[in-house]
Amino acid sequence: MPWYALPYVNEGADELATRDSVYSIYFKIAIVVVTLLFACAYVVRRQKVEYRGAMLLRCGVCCLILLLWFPAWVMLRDVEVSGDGAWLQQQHDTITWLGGDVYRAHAERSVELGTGVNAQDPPERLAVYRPPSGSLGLQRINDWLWWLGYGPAFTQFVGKGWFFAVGGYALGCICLCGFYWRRSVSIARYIFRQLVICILFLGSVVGGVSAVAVASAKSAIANAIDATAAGDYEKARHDLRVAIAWMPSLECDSGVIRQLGYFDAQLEEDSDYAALYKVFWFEQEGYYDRARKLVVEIAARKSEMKRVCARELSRHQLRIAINYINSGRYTQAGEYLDRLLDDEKNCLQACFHRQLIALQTDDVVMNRRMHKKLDILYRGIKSKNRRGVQAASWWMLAQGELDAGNVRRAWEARKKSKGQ
Amino acid sequence: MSVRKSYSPYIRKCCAVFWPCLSLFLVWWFLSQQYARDLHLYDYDTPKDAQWIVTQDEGQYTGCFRKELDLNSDVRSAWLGVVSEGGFELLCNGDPVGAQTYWRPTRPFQNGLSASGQRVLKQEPMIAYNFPREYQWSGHNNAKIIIFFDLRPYLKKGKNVLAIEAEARRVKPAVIAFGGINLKNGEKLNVVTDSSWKAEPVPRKVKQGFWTKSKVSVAHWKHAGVKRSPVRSFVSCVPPALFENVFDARWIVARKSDYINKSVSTFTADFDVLNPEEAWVRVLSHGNYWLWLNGKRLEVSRSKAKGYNGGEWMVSWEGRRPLATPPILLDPDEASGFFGGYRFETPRHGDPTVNDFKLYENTLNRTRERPNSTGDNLLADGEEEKGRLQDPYGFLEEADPAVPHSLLRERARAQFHAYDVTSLVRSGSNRITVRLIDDRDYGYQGSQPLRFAMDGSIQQVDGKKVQLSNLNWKLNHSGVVLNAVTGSQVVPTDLPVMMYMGGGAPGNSRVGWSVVCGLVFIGFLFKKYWCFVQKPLIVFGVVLVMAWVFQMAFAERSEILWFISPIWGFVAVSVAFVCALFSVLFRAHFSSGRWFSGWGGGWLCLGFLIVVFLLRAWMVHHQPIDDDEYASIQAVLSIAETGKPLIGSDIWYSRSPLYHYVVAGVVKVFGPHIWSLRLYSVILSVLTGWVLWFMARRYFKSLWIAGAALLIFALHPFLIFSGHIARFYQQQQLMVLVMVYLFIQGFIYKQSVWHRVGAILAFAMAVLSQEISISFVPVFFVAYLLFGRGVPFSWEWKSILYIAFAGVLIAADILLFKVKCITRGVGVSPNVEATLAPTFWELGNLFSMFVGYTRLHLMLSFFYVLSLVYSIRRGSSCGITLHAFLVVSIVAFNLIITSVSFRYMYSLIPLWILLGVHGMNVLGIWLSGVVNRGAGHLVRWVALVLAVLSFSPWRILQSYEEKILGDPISSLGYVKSEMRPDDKIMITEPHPHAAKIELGRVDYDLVVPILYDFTYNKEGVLRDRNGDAIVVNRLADLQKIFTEDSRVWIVINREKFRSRKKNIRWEYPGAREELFIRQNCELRYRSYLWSVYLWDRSLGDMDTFRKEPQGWLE
Repeated sequence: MPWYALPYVNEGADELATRDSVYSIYFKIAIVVVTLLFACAYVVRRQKVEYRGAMLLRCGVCCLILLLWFPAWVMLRDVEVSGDGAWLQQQHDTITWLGGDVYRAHAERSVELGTGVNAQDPPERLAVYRPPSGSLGLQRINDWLWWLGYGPAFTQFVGKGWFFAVGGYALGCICLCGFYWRRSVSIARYIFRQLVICILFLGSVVGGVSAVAVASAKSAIANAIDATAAGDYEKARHDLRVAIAWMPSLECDSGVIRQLGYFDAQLEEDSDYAALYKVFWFEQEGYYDRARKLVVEIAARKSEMKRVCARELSRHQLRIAINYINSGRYTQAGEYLDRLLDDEKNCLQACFHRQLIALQTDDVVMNRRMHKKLDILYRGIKSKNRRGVQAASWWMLAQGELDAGNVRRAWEARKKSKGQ
Repeated sequence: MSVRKSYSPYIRKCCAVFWPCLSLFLVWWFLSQQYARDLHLYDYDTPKDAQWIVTQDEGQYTGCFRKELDLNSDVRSAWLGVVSEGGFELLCNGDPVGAQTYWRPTRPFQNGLSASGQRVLKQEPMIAYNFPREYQWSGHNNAKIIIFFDLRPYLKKGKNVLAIEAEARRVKPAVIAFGGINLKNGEKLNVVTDSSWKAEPVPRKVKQGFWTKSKVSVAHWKHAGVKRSPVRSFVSCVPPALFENVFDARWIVARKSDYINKSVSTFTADFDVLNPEEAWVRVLSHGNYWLWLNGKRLEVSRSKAKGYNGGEWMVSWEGRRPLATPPILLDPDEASGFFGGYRFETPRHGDPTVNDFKLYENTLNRTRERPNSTGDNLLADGEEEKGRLQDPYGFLEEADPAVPHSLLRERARAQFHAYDVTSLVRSGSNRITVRLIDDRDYGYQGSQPLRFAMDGSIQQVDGKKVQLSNLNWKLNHSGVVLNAVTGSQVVPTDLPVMMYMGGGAPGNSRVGWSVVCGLVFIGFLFKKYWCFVQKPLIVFGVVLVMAWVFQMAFAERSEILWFISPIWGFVAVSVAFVCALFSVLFRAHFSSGRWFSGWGGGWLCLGFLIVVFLLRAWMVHHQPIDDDEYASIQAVLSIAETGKPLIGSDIWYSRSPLYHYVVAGVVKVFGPHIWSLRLYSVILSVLTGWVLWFMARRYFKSLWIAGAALLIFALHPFLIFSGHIARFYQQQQLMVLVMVYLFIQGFIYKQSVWHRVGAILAFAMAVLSQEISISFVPVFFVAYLLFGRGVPFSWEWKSILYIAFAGVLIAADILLFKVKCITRGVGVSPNVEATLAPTFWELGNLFSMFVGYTRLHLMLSFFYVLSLVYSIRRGSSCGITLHAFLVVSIVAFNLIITSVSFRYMYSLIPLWILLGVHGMNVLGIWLSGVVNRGAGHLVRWVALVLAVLSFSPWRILQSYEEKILGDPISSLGYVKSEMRPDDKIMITEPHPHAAKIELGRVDYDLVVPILYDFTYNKEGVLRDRNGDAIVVNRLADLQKIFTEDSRVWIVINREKFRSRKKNIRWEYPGAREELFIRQNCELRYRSYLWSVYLWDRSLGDMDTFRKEPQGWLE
C-alpha cells in the first residue's frame, strides 16, 4: 500500500495509477532498521531490560514519530512529487471553490445547455507552502503545519499505507499502555512517564530539525532580499538557491521561479527560468500575443526542462487555453489542451475544459474520453467536494449524448449527474 | 523496588538560574515595549464643529449620509478622516474611496479595513477556518480608531458629492468625519459631519448606488441628526499632517544613459534633525524602488500593500493559503484591474440587464478602455459607456481583436506611498537612500523616464518642523558623487491616490539584547549571592509569563490598543512585583480554599449557577433567530401541533429527535413562544454548570477548582451565546459531560455496573440529541483500552446488552433520517455539508479548541498544559483519562466530521475548562512547594482573574443591546407591516422557513448557486425543503417572476450575496442577480446584515428587461 498516492491516468490501460514518493521506501527501511535495532538492543541487554513492554513501547514511539515526520520529508524535499501534488490540488480547488467552474456554472448558466462556457482562470501562482518570511512565531500555526508537511497537497493524496501504519502503531502503543495498566498501576505510571519523556525528546529532535530547515531558509531568503535591494543579483540568486537547498520544494513556487528568472535576466543569462520570467512579464504587461509566441517557442524544449519549469510552462499553456475558450476560439483552445494532456498525465482542468469544448463542438467521442479520464482521476482524490465536479462531468456528457441523438445514454448520464 | 530516578538536583540548579534570567528578560521586554516595536499610535481630536451624525430613523441598522460640495477651483489636496461605530464605506462622486467592512468580533480587529496600512494589527489570525457560532460579545471598538483617506483624485471642479454608508449592530449607526480641501486658488475648505448632511437609513426614492452621484438630487431626504457623544478623541497609525499637507517636491530623474549602469539609479540625501518626535515621508514613483533610512530598509509588513516598494522581489506572498490564491483574469478585456470597480458591469459576455440580442461594438469606445479602471471617469461624471453587449456564450465573438493589447493599458502608472518613519529617524545627521529599478527592456521601452519624488516632515521635540521637500539628492556614479537631475515640480494631476503603507520598524535592539545577556551572564556567575531573592523571583517571573500570555490573548481584538500604551508594561511589571512582595510578606496567611469554604460550597455553587442563568436568559428574546435555529423551531412547533416533525409536505426534520421532542413537550406546556424555546436551553446550561461543579469536586476534591471552573463556564462568551439558542447544542453538551462522568465511574473506577449502563445510555442520548456525538465511539474505545480493567462477566453482559439497546435506538434514528428526512436527490451540490465520514483535512483545526477564534482560549490553554504535565507526572488515571478524552475527542471530531469547524467541538468546552482550571491549581500547588503557600494561593487567584479577563467580560454586558447575528426578524417584520394580500415573498436560502414562520407564507427561495441539499422536486418544480418555496437560482427566473408578479418583496441576507459594499463581487456566483435586483428594485429597509427590496411594477421607472416570458437568454 502506498504512503503517498498521487493519481494519474495510465493511458495504456485506461485506469488509475498512483505515484509514490521515493521517501516512502527510505522511511519504510528506516522503520525496519529502528525495529531491528531495538530487537538487537533487547537481545544484547536482555538482563538489564526491566520491562520488555517499555522497550517495545519505545520502539513503537520511535516508529510512530518517524511516520509522523514522513510528510515533512515528502513535502519539503521531494520536489517533483510535492509540486505535482500541489498543482493537482490547486486545480481541484480552482474547479470547486465558490468562484470556481462548478459553482459558477451552477449559478450563471441554465440547466438546458449544461455547463456554460465561462472557464475560470486559474491562480497565477502555485506553491507547496508559503515561503518562510517575517515572524515565525506561534501565530503562524497553519504555516508551521504546512512546513511540517501537513498541507492539502499531502492530506489530499496521503496513501492508505501511511494512515494504517500511523493508526497501527498508535493503537499498538495504546494497547501496550493499557496492558501494563491492567497488570500494575505503579509500573504503568513509570512506563507512561518514560514514554512521555521519549516522545518529548524525539519530538523535539524531529521538530528541531524541521525548524532549523525552515529558519535557515528564512534567513537565506532575508539575505536574498537584502542582496536584491542592493542590486547584487548574483549574491541574491545564490542566497535564494541556499534557501532552496534548505527547503527544496520552495523551487515549485511560481514566485521563486520568476525570481530566479529575473536574476538570470538581470545577469543576462539564458535559462528556462529567464524564459518563464519573460512570459510572466509579457502577461503582466498585457502583451499576450508575445507571451503566447514565447510559450510556443519554449514548449518545443519542454521535455528537456526541469520538472519545476515544465510544470510552470504547463500552467501558462493552460491559462492561454482558458483565455481562448473564453474568447470563443475553441479550435486553438483544444489544440493547447490536447498538447497539455499529452504532457501531463493528471491535468484535471485540461480534462474538464476539454470536455466542455467537446460539448460545444459536438465531439461526443472526445466528450466521452475526457469524462472517463476525469472519472478515473477523481478516484484518486479524497475530498468530498469531488462529487460536484464528477456530477458536472456527467452533465456535460449527458448533454453531449443528447446532442448526438443517444437518448438512452444521455438519460443514464443525466441520472448520474443528479447523484441518482 | 524503586522505579523512579530523581532528577530534582539538576532541575533545582537550572531553576536557580532560569527564573532570574527569565524575569530579567521579561522586565526588559515589557518596559522597553518590545511587544509594540513596530507600532506607533497618534492621538487625534476632532474639530469642535465636527459632530457625530445619525439618521432620524429609529428602526434601521444602516445609514446613508451625503454631503454636496461645490468647488470653484481644481483641487491641490484633499483628505477625510472617518470614524464609525460599526462599519462604513466612503464614496466620492460615486467612486468607492475606502471602507471598513463590519465583520463579526470572532474575526480579527479591523479585518475589513480597505486601507491595510492603517491596520493596528499586523498579523493574520491564528485560527480562521469555518465560521463559528458567535460569541456573546459586542463588536470590536471601531469608534476608537480614525481612518484617513486621500480624496484629491476623486474631487473635481464643480459639484461633488461625499457619501458615507454606515452599518452597525445597533439601530441608528453614528459616524463622525472631518477633513480638508486645498484648492488651486489658495482657498481652504473644511469638511466636517454635521446636521447639514443629508441622511436616510436607505437611499429613499433613489436607486441603490445612484445616491452617491452628483447628478442625482436628494433634496427630499431628511437632514442628519446630531448624536451627543463624549467620544471625540481617537487614535491612528497615521502621523499627524501626513494627509493634510500638500505634496511638495520636484521629480528626481535618472538620465537614460545613467541607469544602464544600475549603481547610478541609487540616490542619497542627507539631512539633520534635533530630537525627532514624529516623522513621515511620501514617495511618488513610476516603478519599483527600494527605500532606506539610515541604512534600515523600509519594509512593509503586508505584502498586499507593497506595490512598488520592493516590487522587484516576487517571492513574497499575497494570499492566506498558497493553494487558494485568487485567480487572475487573463481575458484581455478584464485584465487591467483586480475585482473592483465597474469593469464587469459591461462584461465581455453580456450585460444581464440590457434587453438586446444584437452584437455590436460600442463605437465610442474603440480602444476598449475601461473608463473607471483608468481613472478617466473621475473627472467626468457622465453616463458610463457600455462595452460589448449581449452574447452570453461567446458564439459571436470576434476571434482577432483589432486593437493591439499593448495599447489597452496604462504603462508606468505612478504609485504614491506614505510611510511613518518615526522609529528610523535619529537625532543628528540622517541619510535617506532610494534605489530605482529599471525594468528589463523586452522590446517595449516605456516613454516615462525613471524618476521619483519625495517629501516628508519631521516634528522635533521643540515643536519645530523639518521639511524634506527640497533635499539635495546625490547619485554615486562609479565612485564619483554627482548631483541628481532635478525635474519639474510635481503637480496634483501627477498624483494618484495616496496609499499609507504603515511604519518602518526599528531593527532589533542589539544593545538591549546585549545588556540582558550580559546581566544574565553576571547573574549566572554570582548566582549564590541572590539566593535570598530566588523565591520571590519565581513568583515575579511566573506572573510576568502569565501577563505575556494574557497580552498575546488580546492580539486579535480591539483591546490590543490598551496594550500598546507604555502604561501596560509598567502595570505588568508592577503587578508582578507586588505579587512577589506579597509572597514574601504573607507567606502562609493567604488561603483561597478557606475563602471559598468559608462562604460555603453550596451557596457558592448556587450563586454561580444564578450567574449562568442570568447571563444566558437576559434579553433572551432580543437576539435574532439563527438559520439552523429556525429549522429546529419549525420542527418543534410541528411536533407540538401534530406529533410529527413536519417541515415540508411529508418531509420530516427527524434529526436530533430527543431534543426536538423534549422541547415540543415544553412548548406544549408553556406555549409556543421564544421564551419557552430558548429558556429550555438556558436551564440545560445551568444543569451543565452543576455537573461541571460536581465533577470538579469529585475528581479534584477542590472547592476552588469547582468554583473557578463554574465561574469560567458562566462567563465563557461562546457558551453564553450557544447556551440560549433553541438548538440541540446545549443538550448534547450536558449529555456528553454526564457521559464522561459515568464512563470514568463505570469503566475506569468500576464503581458499579449501573454507572456503565448510565454511560451507555448517556451516550445514546447524546447521539439522539446531536448525531455527530457518534464520534465519541473511538474515544470510548481508546479510553477503555488505556484504563479499563477486568470486571465480572455479568458486568460485561449487561454492558453489551445496553450497548445493543443503544445501538438499536441510534440505528432507528438513522433509519428514520434516511427514510423521512432525506428526499430524493435532484442534483449534486459542490459544497460539503457536515456529516460523518473519514476526513483528513485542515489539520490546523486540531488547535482550535486551544486557541479559539480571536484567541479566546489562549490564556486558559496555557494552564491546560500544566494540568497535562502534572497528570502524566503523577500518573493520575482520572486526570489522564480526562485529558485523553479531550484530546482524542478533538482528533476524532477532526477525522470523522467532514466539515471543519470549532463549533462541532462545543460539547467538549466544559472539559477543557475543567482541565484548564486544574492547571491553575497545579501552578498554585507547585508554587506552594517551591516558594510558600501564600505565593501558591496568590498566583492561583491572579491566574483566575487573568483567565476571566481574557474572555473580555465587559463585552458581554454591552452585547445585550446589539444584534449579534444577522437579523431577518426585523426585516420580515417590516415586510409584514407593509405587504398587501397579493404580494409575493422571496427570501434567500436557507431562510424560507423563517419567512414561513414570521409571515405565514413564502413564495420564492432565492439561492445562487443552487444547493441541491436544501431542495426537492415536487411535480417537476424545484422547491425548498423547509418552506416549500419555489427555487429561484438564475437570472431568467428572476426576470420571469418580475414579469408575472406585480409586487415582490425580496428579503436578502447580505452575507449570502457577498457584496457588502458598492462594488459587486463578480468573482462569486450571484453577482448578476444582485446587480439585477439593485437596479430594478427599491431598497426599502435594512436590519443588521439583511436588506428588504421591493419589486413594484407600477412604479414604471425600472430598467429594461425582457417582457416576454421564456424569451430571454441569460
